[in-house]
Amino acid sequence: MSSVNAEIHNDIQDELKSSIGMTVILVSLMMFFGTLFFGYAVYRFTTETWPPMGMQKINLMLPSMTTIAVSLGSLFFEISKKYLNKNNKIQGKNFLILSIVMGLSYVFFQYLLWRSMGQLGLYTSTGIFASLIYAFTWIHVAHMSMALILFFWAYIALLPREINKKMLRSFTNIGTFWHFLSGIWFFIFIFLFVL
Amino acid sequence: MATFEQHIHPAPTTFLSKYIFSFDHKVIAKQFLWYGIFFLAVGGMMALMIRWTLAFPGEAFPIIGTMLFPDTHGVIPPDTYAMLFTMHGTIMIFYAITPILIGAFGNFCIPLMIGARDMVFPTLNMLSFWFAVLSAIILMSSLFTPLGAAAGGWTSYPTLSTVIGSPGVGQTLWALAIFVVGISSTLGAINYITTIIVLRAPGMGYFDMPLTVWGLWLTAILNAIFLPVLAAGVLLLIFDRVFGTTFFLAGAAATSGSGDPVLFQHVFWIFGHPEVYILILPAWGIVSDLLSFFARKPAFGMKATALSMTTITILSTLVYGHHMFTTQMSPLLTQSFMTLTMTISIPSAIFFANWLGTIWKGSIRFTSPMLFSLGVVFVFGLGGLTGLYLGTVTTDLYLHDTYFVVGHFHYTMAASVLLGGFGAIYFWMPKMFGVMMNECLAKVHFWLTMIGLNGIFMGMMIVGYAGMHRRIYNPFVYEYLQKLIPINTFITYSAILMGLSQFIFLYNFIHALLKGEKASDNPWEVGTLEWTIPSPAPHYNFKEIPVVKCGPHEFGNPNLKNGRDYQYQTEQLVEG
Repeated sequence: MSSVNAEIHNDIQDELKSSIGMTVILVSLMMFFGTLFFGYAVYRFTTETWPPMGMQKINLMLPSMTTIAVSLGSLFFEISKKYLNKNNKIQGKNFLILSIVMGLSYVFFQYLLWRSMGQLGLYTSTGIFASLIYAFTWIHVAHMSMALILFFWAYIALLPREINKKMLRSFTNIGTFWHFLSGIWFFIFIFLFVL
Repeated sequence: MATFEQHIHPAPTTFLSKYIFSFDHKVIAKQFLWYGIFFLAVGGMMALMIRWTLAFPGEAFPIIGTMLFPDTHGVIPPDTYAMLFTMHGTIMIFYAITPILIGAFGNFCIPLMIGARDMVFPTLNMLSFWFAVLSAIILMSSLFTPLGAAAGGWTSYPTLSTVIGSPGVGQTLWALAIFVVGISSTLGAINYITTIIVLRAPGMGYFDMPLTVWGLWLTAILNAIFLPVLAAGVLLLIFDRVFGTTFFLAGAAATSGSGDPVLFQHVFWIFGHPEVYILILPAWGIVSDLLSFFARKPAFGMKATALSMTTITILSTLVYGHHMFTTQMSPLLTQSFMTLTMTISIPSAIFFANWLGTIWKGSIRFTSPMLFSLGVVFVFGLGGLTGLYLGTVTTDLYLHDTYFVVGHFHYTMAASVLLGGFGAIYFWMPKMFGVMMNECLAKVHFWLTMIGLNGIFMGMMIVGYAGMHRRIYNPFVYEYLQKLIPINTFITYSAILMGLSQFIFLYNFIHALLKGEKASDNPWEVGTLEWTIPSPAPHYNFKEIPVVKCGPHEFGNPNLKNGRDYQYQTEQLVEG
């Protein structure tokens, strides 16, 4: 096999490995979050009033800010990837930094949300309503933190390298993970805060 | 089919890179094997303690009893009894069977049987093992906490597993350990699925894969899909226990609003029923291959067997409700789950018939792997048939939570899987370690194990049918159960026999490693890809990536003229 053909071949292999591996991870995560939403549905449909008596709905301000932060994080990451695809490292780096800022803002808004819930007298042991919000947001923050670590890793370890297909593949996978979590957040926002 | 370049990695040189933090699938397989055998011994010892209590209530456990339970002069106390059956179940399922069948043989067999040089993600593979170690440390450390280990059963239903039912830290550590072992298995699953799809040798279609690989592949798919369900459940349980959330606390137990203890049961069994197949599919695959190898016949209806296993995998995801018939489900639901459960009999019957078809009129070689495989056919038949009574609502209402259930699931999940695991160890020992185990000792091991396990599990079904409930410290305080003391004593003696017979295996295994007869490259005369390379398998597996030209079970071809009755998968099928 000629060296050019071998390179193309290896690229196909890496692409296949990466996409199958990532698909399996996402299926696993989907089942994980799906179970949590299944639990939410059971509690929600077996409770006559929601939120339960004596509790008030959470103000939508902070969850909305969070939604904007994760959405912008996704958008900036995609723009960053687009620039990297065009071999424009400087712009790619700038938009990656913006994604990181959005990720950190997301964590900050979550912290503010927990604090505001405390001020409303909603603690983990207050009942199923508060339990659900705390558990969903904790778990989501834990996953988003992993995605943020990957963003930092991309900035420190990937960007200094030469732009090549392998690097772009890693970028795509990190992006897919972030977008997936953004999607999950959207469901959390709708089900736990809006409805 | 596209084939991909696979580089030969340089052989590891340091002790750490070779034996501890190895990326080599064969070393990781051996690590999982040692890990699994260790926990098999721990779980087995716990089983003997449980059995001792049921046969000789109030009597000190022999030899180590006074050392372990000095306050009660060697008698196993009631709270410890609850910990023992909880930890026995947990250890056997997640720390013994899973590592041996899936961790060890999954890692060892998949790349070798599909003609690959390693797993597709070697680092992930190593991490999978070390997550399993971390989980085991967490679980075992719970034994040394002030109120002891988890005691809510391996199912850990709330409220038994909430802070009210289990106030100590042991149950929290149990949940954490399960969460971590779930990460380990999911990492393994990602690797197995991707490796099988991407790295099959040129010419190897899915139906050219040995059935062992099929079983492991389907198991990996189930693991990737359903372990996260359990992970979510135990994570919420941890939140309840540590942070005071109220997911599984109901009524007065919750300070405000209401959780739902039965929700945990749903979540647990959505995972738990596929888990039965997660454990048994590798054994089915292995046995399907071994029956063909030693009957010297092509596997009867090989495609049908593979498709039956796939159908069972799919159906296994839809039937979990039969574990919960007594939770006041609506009759419509119980009948639906019962019907779905019964449909599993159809593919099961197909591949069971295929097993019989494979050995029918075969030139059977009664080697130790074959004996263990035939043992699986027998015990799985019994386990499967007794499952029908538990899948039927009317009979389940009577049998639920009795020892009949314990006997049934031990026949399917323990006996079949254990015998399949032993068969696999005896069979792949030459390729794994380059040595043969003693056949005579292996056969003695088989017969004593077989007699012992049937004494135990058949006995359990009898006492269960007679009304003896599981998880009771001393059932004989109830007058109607006192008549069952002799049969319980018989079960315990059977357990002791089975336990002691494992020393024969251990002796044989260790003796083979130290002084065993050196194995030839293909001592069993089998044609799958791993037998085309030297024994033990070199670190790079295949010097040249093999090209597959025929199926894995090409035996007894009358056109063969080279004195062999089998063909390697790398050989063109000889036609007349």
